[in-house]
Amino acid sequence: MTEFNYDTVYSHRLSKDKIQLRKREILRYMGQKGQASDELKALIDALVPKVHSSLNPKGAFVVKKIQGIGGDEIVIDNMIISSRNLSKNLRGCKAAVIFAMTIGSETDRFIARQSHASPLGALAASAIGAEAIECYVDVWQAEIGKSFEKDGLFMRPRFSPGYGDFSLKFQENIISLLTAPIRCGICVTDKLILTPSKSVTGMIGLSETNEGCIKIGCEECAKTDCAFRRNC
Amino acid sequence: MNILDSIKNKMLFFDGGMGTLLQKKGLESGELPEVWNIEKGDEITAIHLDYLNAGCNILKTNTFGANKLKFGENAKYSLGEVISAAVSNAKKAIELCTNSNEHYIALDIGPCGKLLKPLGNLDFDDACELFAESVRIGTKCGVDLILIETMNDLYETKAALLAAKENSSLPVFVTNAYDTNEKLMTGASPEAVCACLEGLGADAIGLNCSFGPSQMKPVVKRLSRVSSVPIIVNPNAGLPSFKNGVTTYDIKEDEFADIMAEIADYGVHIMGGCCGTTPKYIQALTKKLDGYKPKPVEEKNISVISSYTHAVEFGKKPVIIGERINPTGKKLFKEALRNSDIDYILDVGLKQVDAGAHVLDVNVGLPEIDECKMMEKVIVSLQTVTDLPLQIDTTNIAAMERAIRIYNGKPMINSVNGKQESMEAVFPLVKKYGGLVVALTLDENGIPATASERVKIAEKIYAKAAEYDIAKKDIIVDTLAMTISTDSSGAVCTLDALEQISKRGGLTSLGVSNVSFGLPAREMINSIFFTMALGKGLSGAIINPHSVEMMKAYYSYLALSGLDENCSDYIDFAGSVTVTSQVLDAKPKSTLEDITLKSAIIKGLKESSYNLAKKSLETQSALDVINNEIVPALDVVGKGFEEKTVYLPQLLISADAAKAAFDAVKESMAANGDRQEKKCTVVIATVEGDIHDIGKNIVKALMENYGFDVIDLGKDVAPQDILECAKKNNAPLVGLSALMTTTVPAMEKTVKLIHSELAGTKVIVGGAVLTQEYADSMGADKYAKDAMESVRYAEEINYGLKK
Repeated sequence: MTEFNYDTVYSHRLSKDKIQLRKREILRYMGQKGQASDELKALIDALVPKVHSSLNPKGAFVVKKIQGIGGDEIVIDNMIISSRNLSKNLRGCKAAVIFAMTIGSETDRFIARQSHASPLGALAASAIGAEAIECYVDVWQAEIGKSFEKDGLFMRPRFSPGYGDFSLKFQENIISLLTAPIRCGICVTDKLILTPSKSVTGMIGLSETNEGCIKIGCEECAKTDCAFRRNC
Repeated sequence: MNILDSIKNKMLFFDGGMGTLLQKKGLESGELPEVWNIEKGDEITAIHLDYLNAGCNILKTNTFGANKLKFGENAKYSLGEVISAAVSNAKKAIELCTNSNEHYIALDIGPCGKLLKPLGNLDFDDACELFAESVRIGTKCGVDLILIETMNDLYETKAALLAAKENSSLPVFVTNAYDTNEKLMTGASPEAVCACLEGLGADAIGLNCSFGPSQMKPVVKRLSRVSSVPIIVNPNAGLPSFKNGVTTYDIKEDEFADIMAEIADYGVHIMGGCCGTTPKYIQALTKKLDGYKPKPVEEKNISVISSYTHAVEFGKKPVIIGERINPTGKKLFKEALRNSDIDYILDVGLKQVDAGAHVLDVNVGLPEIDECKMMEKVIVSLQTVTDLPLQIDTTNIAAMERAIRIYNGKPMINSVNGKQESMEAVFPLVKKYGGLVVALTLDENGIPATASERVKIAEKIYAKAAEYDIAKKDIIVDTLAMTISTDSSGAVCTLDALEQISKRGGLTSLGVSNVSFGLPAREMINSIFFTMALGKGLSGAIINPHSVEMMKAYYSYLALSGLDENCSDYIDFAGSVTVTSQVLDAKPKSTLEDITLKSAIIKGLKESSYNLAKKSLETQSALDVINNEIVPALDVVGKGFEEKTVYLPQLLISADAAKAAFDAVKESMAANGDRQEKKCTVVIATVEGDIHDIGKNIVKALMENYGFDVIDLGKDVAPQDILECAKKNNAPLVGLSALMTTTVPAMEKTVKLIHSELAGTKVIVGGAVLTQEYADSMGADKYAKDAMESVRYAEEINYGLKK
């Protein structure tokens, strides 16, 4: 690879100006379907700039060679991961990016403050935060994706512990591998909850063939009755 | 020689980044570097020796991550083995070194890798104990000092520093890792960090890691302006760059040394390196600065308090301290304290923030409650929702200590007075934890009637404080505002004393509104008295920031005394005053006309709902308004939600509007001396280990609207606490929330505990990962898929009880 080394942990920072929040997604995270009322839209419009100013996007990532994929098992960085979903996601890849990203703790403080006014404000602020972290990871992914493409490597959709059968316990491995508490302030609790709350860890397969759009996220998930399921 | 004496006269040098060298020597990903102390001790000693030969004075032991979390019961080596091997490796290197430099060993302590509450879930006390263990072992092994480094959270830094101070008498140095925005990752500015750490008695402070020396310049400058202790700078070897497949840092040894020499002139006393700084970097540095005489460490004499984000300085612009968190003479506040209604107290706090307070006074003393516990709860909760510094206001010394200890930052403390007993109780706490303490000019003989006697007491307090090594800058004298209705010369005496203290360079504060007790139109007297006091040099005023008259006086004073550049604060304030009165005029006309209370709630119009409820209450009884308008509206929206024509956000918008209508009802009932009849008690909580509470709060809000008496225990609540609360309040229903598969076991434990101890109490469970099967398998009485279903079940239980 021309721009990245295997096994080197990189820190990442992004100016919050590059994060553009989509109202449609925010409404979806809030559980709204169909037309939103003017009151709801006004509430979101009022909160979006406030959440946005609380953002401090930062993260860490590393590129690791995949040591092996066999059956429903992946070996990477000496971790043995038993997951049918992840194996399927990474099949054919020689390497993967392992990452942890967050929008920082200030947003959590903002959400906590909202929740004293009303659960509605907290729900909305939390949804905006969720949209912000997704946006951040998207922007970063597009950024590094370009540099991988120069080396003829194409990124698969990102896949996080807790999706499908990819065990949450790998949060700990990823956080420790990336020294995330120091590099970007992301820690994991003994119950495997990430703090700050708007943080994401995961893996992105690097494949030598460009398979175009692979169905991901909601479409891949078996929980068809989920309130947040995206209709595509 | 003691290292603290040594840095008075010369620059001392730290070593560089151990981690980088271990990786070069083959440390594998996932391998704990501290294990090498035992398994590859010679390698570690060799690295230490290389740094010593490069001219460094202080070795950091290879113990960055050596704590109980990593070396607990199941680890290959005990924490004691790891730390003692690390210290002995460093000692060996010093023995082998042949140069004549002075050498010290610093016990290296890095972050524990967990975020503290309330942002994370590690208890402050547990964090202290975690660090204490490492400190005790290291001290016993014979290190010369303790270095707490790479900390990116102020609260964790405080825990580590406190642990070091409580478990060792060695010097403690602290370096933090700043982010590109010149703050720690959890938001603290360099000034806030400095205030807190100096208060806690750090012997030197500074920064390390994150970036190279160039990028550190702004933070070093800011620290050097405020710090009265020596400054440490340990940067990386620049920023890492990754061109052509090789990882290098972007500055070379000589450039590193050149920039460091520049930074040294800002007033730095100890320098070294972090990631990427090999012995060559340290050699270049020590060579460049050989014989360098650092600027002497200056006492900056800044009076400052801080929160977890920013510092507030006293002595320049007068500071407004909001007085409203105080039960004295407030019926509702007292009731909130008795019911542990933290939300009510937070509301009182947040409103003062919006009104322009700079600091919040916190007084939660009531004879019938456990003040210690309440104080802790309120401080922690306030620090979750506001970043203003707090003033801890209590006469209960145990509550005071607990509050100062767990406070995130350097607090203001209210108060000490001239009585021996008071000074002997309060000053040790100020010395240990740091703080700006309010000193009341009264003593064993009461409150003196003359200004000169009050000044004398102030002098006595200053002198006693000095015995504890507490500087005058950390004392703010309250010359006691007395009620002029009982003594017409009271205010004159107070102001005289204030002026004298102020002229002698002391800080002053007043509880301003005391002056007008017993008089009509109190605000009139208060605001003029306030203005007079400001003119005499008042540095901090404990007032009600909601009082427009007081704030008018404040902003006008600032503008008139040259403390408000371009009068911009005055102009903003003046604008807000006019706008408020206009809004108040406009509101009733436009909203009350063509809409009913019921439809206002359904539409989610909060203000209209409140105003319409008020209007309805003029002609109808409170009960009728509830039963004929509010509850039917809630039912329409609730049914819509169940039938999936209304979604969660709209349900909550209506719930907010209904709550506003209920507020109007409550006000009317309180005015008539009536009490609303409540349905049964429901205890709700997010289970232990889980820190998600939005869903639980939604259930709470809806249940309250439906008239249930909800006791909310918050998040991360132990099974035993939930049981005890349900037992104490005779609750027929307990609601539990969990969002993670990993916290479902805690939910199960709670369900089982309640069922085994409280026959008849039902448990309802909910949360994103739960299903009917999970709920059945843990023996819950009910699984609710959403908030409305919880309400419906609670209604059933309540109906059963009534029958």
